[in-house]
Amino acid sequence: MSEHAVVKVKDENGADVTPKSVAVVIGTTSHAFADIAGQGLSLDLAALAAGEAKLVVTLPDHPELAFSLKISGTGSKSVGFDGNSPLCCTLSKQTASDGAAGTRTLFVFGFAMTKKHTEVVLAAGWDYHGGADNSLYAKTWRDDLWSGTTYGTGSKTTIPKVVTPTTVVTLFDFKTGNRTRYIKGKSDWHRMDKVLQGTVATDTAGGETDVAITKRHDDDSISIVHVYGYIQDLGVAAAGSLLRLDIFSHAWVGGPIMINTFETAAFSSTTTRDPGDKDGRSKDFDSMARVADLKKAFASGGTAKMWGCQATTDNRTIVRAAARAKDKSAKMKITYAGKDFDISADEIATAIRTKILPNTYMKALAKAAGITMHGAPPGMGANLRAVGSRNYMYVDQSTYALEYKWYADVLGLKPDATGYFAYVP
Amino acid sequence: MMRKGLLCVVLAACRPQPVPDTTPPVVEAHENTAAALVGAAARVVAIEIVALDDRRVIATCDAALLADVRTAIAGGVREGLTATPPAWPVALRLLMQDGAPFIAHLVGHDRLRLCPADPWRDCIADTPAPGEVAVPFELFEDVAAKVGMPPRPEYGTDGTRSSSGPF
Repeated sequence: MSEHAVVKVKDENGADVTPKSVAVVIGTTSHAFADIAGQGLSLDLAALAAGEAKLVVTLPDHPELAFSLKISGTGSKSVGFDGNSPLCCTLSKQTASDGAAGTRTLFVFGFAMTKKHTEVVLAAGWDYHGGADNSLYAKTWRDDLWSGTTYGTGSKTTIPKVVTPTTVVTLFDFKTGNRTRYIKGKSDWHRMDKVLQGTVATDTAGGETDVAITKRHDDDSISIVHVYGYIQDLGVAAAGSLLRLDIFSHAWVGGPIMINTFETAAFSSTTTRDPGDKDGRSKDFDSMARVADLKKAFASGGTAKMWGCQATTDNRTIVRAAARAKDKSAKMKITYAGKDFDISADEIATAIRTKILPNTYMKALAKAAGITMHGAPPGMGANLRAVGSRNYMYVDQSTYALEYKWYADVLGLKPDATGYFAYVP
Repeated sequence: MMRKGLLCVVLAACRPQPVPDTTPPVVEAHENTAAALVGAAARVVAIEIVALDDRRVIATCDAALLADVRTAIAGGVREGLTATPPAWPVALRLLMQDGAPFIAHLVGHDRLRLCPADPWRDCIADTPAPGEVAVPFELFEDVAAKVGMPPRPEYGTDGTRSSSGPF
């Protein structure tokens, strides 16, 4: 009498798929599957300790896919999914002959996967001042991309069902420092794995003192670089698989504020990233060593969105001044970045079109990845909306009615349903 | 048949005359909520800018803005909450024609946030029932003129990668 785990994989056409490798990983020890007695890729459970484990399946043109398992029993072993079972796998218990030893119990994991890997990456910044949990916005969006409905505009709206039963949804949570991968479960979501980024969690103590901010800068904790690196690795393992990148955080004209760190003087005026800095910078793609891999990761039609603010006061001030000017060529006095200028509404329009919009983080990422990235219009802040248990970020189009009209009339820019502009490569 | 109004007058005339109240007026208490402020918008007479750390009054907002501020507040409690953190570590104390002042936080460019449980707290986490009302952008500009450029990066212009600025 023995117990074996067996993995079988079929594609969307019902054809058998041969994995590159399958293993059960307990802690740091990997137990590889092998073809045993013609029953397919199998692993004798006898040698495995009871407890939590990962079933790591590597398919052609896919990244490593880890599924959470629980092994139980002391004498005879059994194995099943830990938590919600993934929708893409049917686990059955079968009996086979074990020759003279009697019968063999098989725990057969039958995966139905797509030939082409698909993935959505979400990043939730730590709300370093307000204390809100930005992962809630990411998880609502994850659920919406699965269900094909959203309440982001305040009322029920149909959106494309981007997430399928085999789409991996990866969440970088900058509050906890973890990267967690999900795949749709038979109920709710199956948590594939949770991995601390860096060696320590984000230090959320100490408020906004210089000491606390410096410690966050110096710690080896989660950074936007972990997000870039994950996407770059995806570009190598599964080119063209990334359907979306969504960032839910505070943000500014310079990029998403994931933790609110800083660049030291040695880096702030260069195109090189400060290794201690954890936030996204619009310069990131200038000095990125593997920018080609980043680009390769995105699917055809892939997209990105930064849901946070672009509440730069001076940008809003100049748009309002331009919108209110009766004579678009007449000079008026404005202050920008602490300097005084005599400038016309027409010149403001030119500056926004040729200098401000092209220097946004959204534009930089769009160019680097060859995709469209949505983000708040320059000068506008985002709001938070709760609809039942769902949580959304949006830009209030009534608050910024004057500014939106000017952007549409003068620059031909119109927002999406949630108030964000499309920044194209 | 005696009319009802006349009956009231007759009954009132029969009551003993009240003793004049010489006690100081009681400052009317109210909840520090957005809804309460909407109802009291017409009675806002001044807005003080108060430092959060020591509650010191830094300046008083331009009185010429008051009419527009009152009108905007009376527009009602706004949906949702502003994602942008406050630009400065200050609160606004709205002094009333009568009653206790309201304590509010200027969040983003256009909103005042009020927290009933802890009026001086400007975080929204673990704060029950924060609410927001709209205010004109000119109020933000007025506070900026008196307090200085916002220290928070969300409001700043650095990071545009253009050393010469956009002009």
